[in-house]
Amino acid sequence: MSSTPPNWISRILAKVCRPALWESIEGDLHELFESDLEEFGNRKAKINYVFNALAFLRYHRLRKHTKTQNNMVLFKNYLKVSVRDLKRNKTFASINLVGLVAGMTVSLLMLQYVLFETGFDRFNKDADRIYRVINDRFQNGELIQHGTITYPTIGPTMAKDFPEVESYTRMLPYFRNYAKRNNEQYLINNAIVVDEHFLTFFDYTPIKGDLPTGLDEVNELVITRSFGEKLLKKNEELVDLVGERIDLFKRPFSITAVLEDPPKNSHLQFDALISYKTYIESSGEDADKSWNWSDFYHYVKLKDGVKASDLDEKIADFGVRYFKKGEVSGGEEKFYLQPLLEAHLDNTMEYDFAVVTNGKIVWLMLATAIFIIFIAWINYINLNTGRAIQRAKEVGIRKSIGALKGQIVSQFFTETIFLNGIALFLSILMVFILQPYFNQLTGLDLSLMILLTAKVGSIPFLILLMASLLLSFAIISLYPAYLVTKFSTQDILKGSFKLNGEIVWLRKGLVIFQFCIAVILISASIIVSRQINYMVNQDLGFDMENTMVLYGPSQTRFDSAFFNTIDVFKQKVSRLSGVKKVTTSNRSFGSKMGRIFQIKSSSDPEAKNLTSNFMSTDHEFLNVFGIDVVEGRSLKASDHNLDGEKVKNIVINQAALDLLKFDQASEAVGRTIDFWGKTWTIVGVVKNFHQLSLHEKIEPIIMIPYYSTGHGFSVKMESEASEALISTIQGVYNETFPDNYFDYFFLEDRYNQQYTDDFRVGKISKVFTFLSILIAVLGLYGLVVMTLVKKTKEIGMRKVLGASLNQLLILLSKDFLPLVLIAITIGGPLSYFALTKWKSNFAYAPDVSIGLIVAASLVLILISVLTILFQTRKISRNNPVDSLRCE
Amino acid sequence: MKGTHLGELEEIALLVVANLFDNAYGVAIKQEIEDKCNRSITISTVHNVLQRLNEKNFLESRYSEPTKERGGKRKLLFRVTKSGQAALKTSKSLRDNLWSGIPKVAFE
Repeated sequence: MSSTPPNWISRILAKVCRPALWESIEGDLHELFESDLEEFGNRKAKINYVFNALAFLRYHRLRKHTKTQNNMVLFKNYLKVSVRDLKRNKTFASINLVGLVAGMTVSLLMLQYVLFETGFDRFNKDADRIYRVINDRFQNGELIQHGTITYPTIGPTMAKDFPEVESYTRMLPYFRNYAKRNNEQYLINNAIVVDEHFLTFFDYTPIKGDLPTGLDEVNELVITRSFGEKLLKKNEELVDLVGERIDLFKRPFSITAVLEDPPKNSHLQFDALISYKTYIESSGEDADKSWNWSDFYHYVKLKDGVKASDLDEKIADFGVRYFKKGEVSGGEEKFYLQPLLEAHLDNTMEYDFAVVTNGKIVWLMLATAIFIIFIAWINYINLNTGRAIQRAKEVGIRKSIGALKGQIVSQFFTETIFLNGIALFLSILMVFILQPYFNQLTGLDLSLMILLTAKVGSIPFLILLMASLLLSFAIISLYPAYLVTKFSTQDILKGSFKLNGEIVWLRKGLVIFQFCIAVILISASIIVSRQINYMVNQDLGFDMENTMVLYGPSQTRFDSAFFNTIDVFKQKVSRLSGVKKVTTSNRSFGSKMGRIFQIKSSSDPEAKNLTSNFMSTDHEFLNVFGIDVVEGRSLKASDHNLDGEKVKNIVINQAALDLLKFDQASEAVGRTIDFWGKTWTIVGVVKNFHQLSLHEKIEPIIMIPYYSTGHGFSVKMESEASEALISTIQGVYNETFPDNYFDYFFLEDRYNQQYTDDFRVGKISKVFTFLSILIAVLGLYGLVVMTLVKKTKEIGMRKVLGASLNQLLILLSKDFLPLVLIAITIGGPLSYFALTKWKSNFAYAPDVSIGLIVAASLVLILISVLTILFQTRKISRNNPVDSLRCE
Repeated sequence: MKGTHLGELEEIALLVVANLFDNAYGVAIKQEIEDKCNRSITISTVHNVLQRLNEKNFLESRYSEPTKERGGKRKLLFRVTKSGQAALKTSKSLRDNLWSGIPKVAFE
């Protein structure tokens, strides 16, 4: 048998072992290998060989004593010199440290945030093959809806038509349902009706139950841990729930599986999953086969190796083929596939029920954090190139006793790593201290753990981070090192050399860059907080104050007594002291309304296939919320009718006038429009109001006088609700609607939730601005100090000759102020463009005013002048005799 | 000069080297220890002990002539030095001394 021991391990070992012993060691290993080969065979022998070889590494006696020891001495010396140098120059050391710690702390925190937001849905093992179906709807050539909401037939048809599609899943969210088990009611906040593919399509972790078949049949239900725990009775465990009966929609469901809660970084969040077959059975075949019932969400999984772009054309054709230019659904339908991994970062989809955020802001935050650390590193470079000159003598002596260029460079590198290492250590401490506040700010549960576990592609993030840090350290230490090594040793030791123009320019350029960023950040934070102020204080066109919204009595039957029950409840509650009025409506403010497609207006025979939002309200709604009627009348009690078919009077908002092709309000009142298969009469026009946040344009609204079990009660109160009042209302509610579950929210909170992202950006941008100014000004301060040290004699002489403080100030300012001014001339326009772009996120926003950017610039100039003044005053107080005497 | 104290494994190794006279090298010593003392030992540990004894001057070493076995590598052969012998004798007499001092009753 011809077999040789593994070569690689002996090659490594040869490098490590003492050369005098190596031959005997290798020989012995070889001999053992040969005997193992005979006894155990090739495989085992090779394994033994590797283990035996590795075991040698344990013994230092057998290892080579390399030159490292000598390097260690040198290394220790570098560290000692760095420490001494830092001690001697406390100002520079602390400027650098403060900047670095601030920059690194902010970056570490922001990295957590960015990694969390970009890590959504990666727990699905096929995440990179899963796509969300997007459906854009056009009417008369105009985009009227951009979203993920679409028809129940889309997924199945795509799977049938395209061989590239491996599987699909479709779903329909179902909010706030009450389940009953042993006569106890339980609220299911987010249920999703999902088809039988869902559980194997995504990778949600089962606790118990058969996933592949869990939702195959009618009346099957899968629940999550946290909902399951609510259901548990004494001596019952989660796993016991599988097979149990639970009632929902008055149907007996059987729990087929219990899942762990969806991970926090899942864009789909749910408490329970309901089988799609149940939905088909209760809602009819249309839930399966309709081409114009648009309430469903679809995901498709492509086969391995198929690119989504390969399907682009086919999918475009799909929309044309099945929807025949609007004949089928009233609109032209276009379809796209969006990668699952991009879903969370896209908040532009209308009617999205997934957890989404504005991805651009996520990246912007990261970019800003990185800019801040750049500003800190620029300080490091600037102050170090300055000091490199002061330290030139040290370097000169090192060189004259034989230090190589590489050694000088490695000394500077060591120092950089040393200082940055301390900064990194301190920032990690800072992160631990600041974490709770940061989590409060972001509303997320983040920690440094996420940096340790995250991956980019298949590379651990930590390795990338380390690599980029080392690279940055190399860059920032290289320049000062390069400067000092360039000079001839003779010149240095004679003291007859000067900074050349190149360095001066580099330094100026860097200062300009720093201040440029500072200007942009100051302007940004001023404009952002102005925008937030504007949004919060804007007249919304309705009165939101002190409104409590109760969920509707969805379990109560809609029968002939229903109107009366509702009216009695409204009266009872409005008679309570502290309550002004009560009204019911299907949607409140701050949540997206439903839409009516295919509206026809009597104003113009061409005006058909129009789309408008609608609200179902009672006749008091407009009055309670103080929405003004501009023409015609408000809704009346007599507009309601128990028979929905007989309801025919409606009110529209001003925005709907344009849509329905009426020139003015007076023209519309009394006219008719057609939708839902009948003719309606417009009885009034109301003033526009901001049903959604100021991000959104005011859209056309049709207000229909309906009562329904799902309509919530808006209770308008005289002042903030007291605990006592709430519990009284609860009493009335429980008495009037026995089977229902009392729950409420405050309208202002709900409405302001639309601004969560904006508030967050507002707060974070303030922190960023503060830090960038702080670090940039510290850097400027350092440069001023350095210049003053050089100019001590000059200043002394000038003072002797009678220069005033002002003259000295001008002398120093002319070095630095032009840089700040250049930074402003570059940064000002840049921030103008950037902010104008940011403004387009809002439908309603004050223009970006140049005045504010100028103000921001003035602030920066003022801070810079004060910094220079502060130092100059200190120096000018010195007795010129001292400064002239100094060597 | 390092300490002259002899550890247990060191003592065994020294004795084995003496036993194997003129053919005492890594693998042979390893096998001898495994056979005679009924304990398993890795080749790296053997090398480490030998090196330690070498540093204490209890062993001297030389390379053998190259052979075709062992991938053509020479063996490093060990022999006990005078001070090695002395250390072994000291160790033995120390033990004998202690043995003879045990009263008969103690082991009954």
